[in-house]
Amino acid sequence: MSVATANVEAPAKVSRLAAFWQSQIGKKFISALTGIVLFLFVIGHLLGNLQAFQGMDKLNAYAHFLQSAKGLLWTTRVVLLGAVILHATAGIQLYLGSRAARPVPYRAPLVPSSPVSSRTMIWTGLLTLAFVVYHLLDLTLGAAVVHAGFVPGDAYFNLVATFHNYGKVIFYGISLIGLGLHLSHGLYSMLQSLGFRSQLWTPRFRAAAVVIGLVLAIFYILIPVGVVTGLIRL
Amino acid sequence: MRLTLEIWRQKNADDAGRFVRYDMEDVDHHMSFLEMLDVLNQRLIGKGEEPVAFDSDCREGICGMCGFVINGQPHGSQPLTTVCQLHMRFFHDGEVLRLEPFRAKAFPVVKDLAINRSALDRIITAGGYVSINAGGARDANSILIGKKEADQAMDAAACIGCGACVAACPNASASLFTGAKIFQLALLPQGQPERKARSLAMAERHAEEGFGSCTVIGECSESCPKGIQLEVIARMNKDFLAGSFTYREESAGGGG
Amino acid sequence: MAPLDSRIPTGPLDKKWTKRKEDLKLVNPANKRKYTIIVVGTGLAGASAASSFGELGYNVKNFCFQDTPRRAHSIAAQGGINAAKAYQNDGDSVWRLFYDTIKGGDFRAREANVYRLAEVSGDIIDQCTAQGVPFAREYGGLLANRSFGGALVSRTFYARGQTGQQLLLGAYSSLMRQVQLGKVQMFPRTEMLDLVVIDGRARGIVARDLVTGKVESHIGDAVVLATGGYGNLYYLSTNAKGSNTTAIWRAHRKGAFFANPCYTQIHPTCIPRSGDYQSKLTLMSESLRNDGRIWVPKKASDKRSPDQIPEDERDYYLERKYPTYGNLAPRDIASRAAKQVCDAGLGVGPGGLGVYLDFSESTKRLGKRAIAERYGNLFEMYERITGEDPYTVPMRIYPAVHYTMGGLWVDYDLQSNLPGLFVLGEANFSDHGANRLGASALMQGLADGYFVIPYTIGDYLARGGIAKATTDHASFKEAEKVVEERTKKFLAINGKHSVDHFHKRLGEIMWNDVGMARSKESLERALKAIPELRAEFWQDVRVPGSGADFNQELEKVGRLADFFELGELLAWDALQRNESCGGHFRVEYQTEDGEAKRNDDEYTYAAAWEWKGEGQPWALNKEPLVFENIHLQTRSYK
Ligand SMILES: Cc1cc2nc3c(=O)[nH]c(=O)nc-3n(C[C@H](O)[C@H](O)[C@H](O)COP(=O)(O)OP(=O)(O)OC[C@H]3O[C@@H](n4cnc5c(N)ncnc54)[C@H](O)[C@@H]3O)c2cc1C
Ligand code: HEM
Ligand code: HEM
Ligand code: SF4
Ligand code: F3S
Ligand code: FES
Repeated sequence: MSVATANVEAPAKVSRLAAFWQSQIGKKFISALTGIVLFLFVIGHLLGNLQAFQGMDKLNAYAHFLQSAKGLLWTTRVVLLGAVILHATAGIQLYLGSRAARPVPYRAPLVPSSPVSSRTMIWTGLLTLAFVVYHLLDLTLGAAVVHAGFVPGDAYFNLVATFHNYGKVIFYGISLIGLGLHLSHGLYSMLQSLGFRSQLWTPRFRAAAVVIGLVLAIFYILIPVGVVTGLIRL
Repeated sequence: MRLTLEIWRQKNADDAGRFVRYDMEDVDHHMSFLEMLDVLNQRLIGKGEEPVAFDSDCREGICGMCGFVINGQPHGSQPLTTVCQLHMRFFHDGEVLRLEPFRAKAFPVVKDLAINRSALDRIITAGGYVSINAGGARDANSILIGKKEADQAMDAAACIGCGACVAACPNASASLFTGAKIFQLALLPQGQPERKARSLAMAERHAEEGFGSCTVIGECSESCPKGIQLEVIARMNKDFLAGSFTYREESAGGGG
Repeated sequence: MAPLDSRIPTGPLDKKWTKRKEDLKLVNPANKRKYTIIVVGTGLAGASAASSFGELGYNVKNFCFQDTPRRAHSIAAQGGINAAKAYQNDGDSVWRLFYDTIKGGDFRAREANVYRLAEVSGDIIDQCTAQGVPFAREYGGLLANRSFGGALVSRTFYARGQTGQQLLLGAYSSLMRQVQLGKVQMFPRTEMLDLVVIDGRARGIVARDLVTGKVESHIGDAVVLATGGYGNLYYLSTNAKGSNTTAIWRAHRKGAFFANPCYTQIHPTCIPRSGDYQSKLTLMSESLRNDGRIWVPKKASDKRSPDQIPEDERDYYLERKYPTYGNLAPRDIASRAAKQVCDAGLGVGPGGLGVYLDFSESTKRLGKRAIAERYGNLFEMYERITGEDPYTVPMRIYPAVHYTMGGLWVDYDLQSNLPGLFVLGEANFSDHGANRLGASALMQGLADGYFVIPYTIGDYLARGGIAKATTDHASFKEAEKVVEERTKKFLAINGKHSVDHFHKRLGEIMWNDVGMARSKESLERALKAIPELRAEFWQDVRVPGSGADFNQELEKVGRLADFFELGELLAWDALQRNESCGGHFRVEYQTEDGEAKRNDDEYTYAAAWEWKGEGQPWALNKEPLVFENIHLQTRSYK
C-alpha cells in the first residue's frame, strides 16, 4: 500500500521531440496544430468548390489552375498528407490511451452533461478519414470502382456526374455533418490544447466553433444538393 | 420515503463484482446519504450479512475521502456537493438508485464502493510542491500577492483530491486534479522557480499512472464538488508546452 | 511517586527555548541517515514532523489510517491559525499571545511551553506562506487577519473557511516531496494497533494493513505519535468518523502517562443534531461569532419564527453577561451559556436544543457581499445540511464535543515519560491547559512538527544508548501476538449488537454524565455505567467478516474497545479534580453567577495517570504547574 513506489530515476534517454510526441499534452498540441492546417484546407477547398455554382468554366478554370501550379499542388498535398497522418495517429493513440484508462466500464452509464460532439471526436474523425479516402478515389483519381464515367481534368463534369448517384449524395452528406461536428468541438478544444483559455474569450470561441462547424457543413452540403436540385448541371 | 438501492458489491480487487438490490423503507429527509447507508449497514449486520464498504471520514465535504457514483453521477446529482454532504431531501419516494465505485485503471477497487486513489498522491509526489525546507523562510509579508491572484490560487487550491473528476471523465483523465495544483502554484510567486519543471514532471507522472488524456470534454468540472474550472488544465498545458520548448534539465522530478 | 520532571530549561521565560536549543546535542549530518523515525499520523503535527525529519536527512516511516495522508482531520479546520505577527498594529505581541493562551486555558498550562508556542508562531506563517499556502490577502497584497474567540486583537490568519485544509495541504506537499526523494516511506490505510517497547525505550509499532488485514511490525530509533484527538469517545462530535484514541491508548497501556483527560472542549457553534441516525456533528466556524449575534427568545418555548420576534423580546445573552467580549467569549463559557438557556426551556428548533446565530444586523451594516466574502462557504455548508438559508433565516446552533485538551503527558521536549516516545499535536496533553482558544491548535500542531521536534528528537538520538534490534525481537513478536488474538476475539464474540450500537450508548453516558456540566453524582453514575456497558460489549458485540481483508467494522470495534477504557479514565479524572476550570465544569464548584470556580491551592497541577494493568486503578502522577511570570487570577471575560 506504500505511496512511495515511484521514485526519482532519470527518464529514459529519448530525444526531446520523441518525448514530446509520447506525452499526452504534446500529442494534443500536435493534433491541434495539424488540426488547424486541415481546417484551413477545408475552408479553402470549400471556397474553391463553391465556384461550381458559377458554372463549369469557373470551376474548371480553378481546377486547371491547381493542376498547372504543380509546385503549389504538391507542397499542399505533402503538407496535407503529413498533417492527416500525424493528426489521425495522435487522435487514435490518445483515444486508445483513454480506453485503456478505464478497462472496467460503468455498468450504469455516466449521465453526460457535455455536448455529444466532444465525446465522439474519434468517430467523426475516422469518418472524415474514410470520407477523404473515398473522396480521392472518387474525384481526384477517379478509380473505376467508385466513379465509372470519370473524365480526367474535367472536375466540373466529374462532380456533377458523381452526385447523380443518390447513395453518394447521402454518404457525402453524412460525412460532412460528421466533419462539422468534429470541428464544432475541435476548434474549441484546440485552443485549450495550445494552453489558451480566458474567462472572457473562451465561451465566445466555443460558440464560434459550433457556428463554424455548422456553417461549413451546410455550405459543403449545398454542392451535392445543388446538383440534385439542378442548380448545378452540365 | 421508500428507496430501492442497487449497490455494487465486490469482495476485493480480483473479484468480478455485481449489483445487489436493497429496499429501504422509511428514509428520513434530513439524513445525509451516508447516514442512509449507515442505516442499511446496521440492518445488514443485524442479519449477519457483511455491510457495504464505502469510504468516508470528515463527513463535512472537505477531506475528499467519500465518493461513489449515484445513477451515473459522481457524488450524486447536486452540484458542488460531496456525497457525505448530499442530503436525502433531494430524492423522492420510490426512486431507484444505482451505486457504483469510481471506475478507472488508476483507481483499483478495494472493496464494494471503496477504491484506492494513491495514484493521485503520486502525481503530487512528482512535483506538486514548492521545494523549500522548514525554517529559513523570510517574513510572510515580504512576499506581496494581489488579492485577485491569491483568491484565484485559493479557488484551485480548494481541490479535495476526491477523484470525482477522474470518475466523470470519459477518458478517465486526472487533468483537473493535476491542473488544479499546477494552477495554484503557477499563480503565486513562490511557485515560479519550479513552474515549468513541475508541469513537465506532474504531467509525465499523470500518464505513467494510467490516467487518460484530456480532450476538453468538461464533465470533470461539472461534477467537481469544489467547482474547479477547466482553465487549470489550460494552465497545465501552457506550462507544459513552455517547459517542453524552453526547459533544459534532466529529471525535473525531484524538485529538491 | 516523585513529581514528574517536565525538563523546563532554567532562566528567564523569553530565553528558555533559545537556551534549550543551545544545550541540545546534535546528530552529525552524515549519521542522520542511519536513524529511522516512525511517525504515526499525517495531520498538521505528523506531516510537518515527518517532512522536517526527511529534510534533515533522517529516514521516516509515516502512517495514517486514511487512504492518503492528505485526509487527516486537520483538513477540517475552518477558522484560522493564530500567530503573534502583530501585522495589524493593534498591540499584539508574543507576550500577549502567550498571556491570552494561558488565560484562555484557565491557568492550567505550562508557562514555558506556551511561551515557546507564541515565540515560534510567527515562523509558522512564514513557512506556510513560502510553501504556497494561499492565505487571505488585503488589496495591497499583505496578509489579512481576523479576530477570534478569547482575544482582543486580530492575530488570526486564514484561507477562506478552509484554513486547516490549506495548511495541511502545505505540509502534505512537503511530505510528498520527501516521499519523492526517498526519505519518507508512506503507509496509508495502515493502523497502529500497539506500541513496542524494548528495554524501556519506545522502539516501534505493530500496525495492521487495513486492506489486506496483514499485521506487521515496524522498528525505528524513536516513535512519534501525532494521532489527533479522541472526541469521538462521545460518539457524536465534530471529529472525523475515524478519529480515535487507539494509538495513544495502546502507548498508555505500555507505560506512557495520560494527562488531564477530563479537559474536553465543547464547541458552542455546531449544527444541532436532526435525528438518531446522526453520525457526526458539523462545526460552524467560531469566526462566525465575529459578525453573528447569538440570542434566544425571552419567553420559554416561544414558537414564533425568529423574524416574528421583536428585538425587545430577544435575549442576546452573551452580550448581556459578558459586555467586553460579548459573542466572542471563550468556547467553554459560550457553550455553557447556551446549555443554560436551553435547560431553562428557551432553546429553539427541534427538541429545543438550539440557539440563534443571527446575521441580519451585520448584513445590514456590512452588506450581503461582505458577509458572503467572509463566510460564503460556511453559509453554503449550513444550507446544504439544513436546507435553510442563513442570509434570510438565522442559523440554529448548539454545542458539541470538539477538542480534547488532554492526551499523553510530554515534557518540554515533547517526549513522554517513555524514553523515545514523542507525542505531538492534539494527541499530547498540549499547551492549552484546561481550554483551547480558537485557532491555537493548528498553531500548536505546526509548531510541534516544524520547529520543536526536529530539534529535540536529535538530542534524544545523539545521546545514544539505543540498542541494535530487529522486528524479530521478542517484544515485537509478543505485541503481534496480542494484536492478532485481540482481532480473533472480536470476530469470535458474534453477539447481537453492532459496534455503533454500543458506541452510541457509550456516547450518551459520556455526554449526559461527563459532558458540559459534571457533578460528583453524575460522574459516579458514569463510573458505574461504563464498566457495565463495556462488559456487555465484550459479550454481545457482533463483528461480521474476517480479519484477513478490508473490514471497516473490525476497524471500528478496536477503536471502541479503547474508548471504553479511556471513558472510564476520563470520568475518573473528572471526579478527582474537585474544581471547575476551562473545559472541566463541576456544578459543585461555581460562583453564584454560574462561573467556573478554580481551586488553585489544591489543583494547580497536571494530572498524569499511570496504567497499572487490567482492572487496576490508575496511579496519579502530578506535575505541579509553576507560574513565575503571570499571577493566577479568576478568568473574567465580562
Ligand atoms: C471541525 C474542526 C474544526 C477545527 N477548526 C480549527 C481552527 O479553526 N483552528 C484551530 O487552530 N484548530 C481547529 N481545530 C482543531 C485542529 O484542527 C486539530 O486539533 C488539529 O488539526 C489536530 O491535528 P493533529 O495533527 O494533531 O491530528 P489530526 O489532524 O487529527 O491527524 C491525526 C492523524 O493520525 C492518524 N491516526 C490516528 N490514529 C491512528 C492510528 N491508530 N494508526 C495510524 N494512524 C492514525 C490519522 O490518520 C491522521 O493522519 C478544528 C477541529 C475540528 C474537528
Ligand atoms: C480535414 C479533417 C480534420 C480536421 C479539420 C480536424 C480538426 C481537428 C481539430 C481542430 C481538433 C482539435 C485538436 C485539439 O483539441 O488539440 C481535432 C481533434 C481530433 N481529431 Fe481531427 N480533424 C480532422 C480529421 C481527423 C481525422 C482524419 C481523424 C482520424 C482519426 C481525426 C481525429 C481527431 C481526434 C480523435 C481528435 C480529438 C483528440 C484531441 O482533441 O486531440 N481528425 N481535429
Ligand atoms: C461536397 C463536398 C466536396 C466536393 C464537391 C469536393 C470536390 C472536390 C473535387 C472536384 C476535387 C478534385 C479537384 C481536382 O482534381 O482538381 C477534390 C479534391 C480533394 N478534396 Fe474535395 N470536395 C468536397 C469535400 C471535401 C472534404 C470535406 C475534404 C476533406 C476533409 C476534401 C478533400 C479533398 C482532397 C484532399 C482533395 C485532393 C486535392 C488534391 O488534388 O490534392 N474534399 N474535391
Ligand atoms: S478537482 Fe475536483 S473532482 Fe477532482 S479531485 Fe479535486 S475536488 Fe475532486
Ligand atoms: S472531462 Fe476529461 S477530457 Fe478533460 S475536460 Fe475534463 S478531463
Ligand atoms: S467524508 Fe470527507 S469529504 Fe466526504
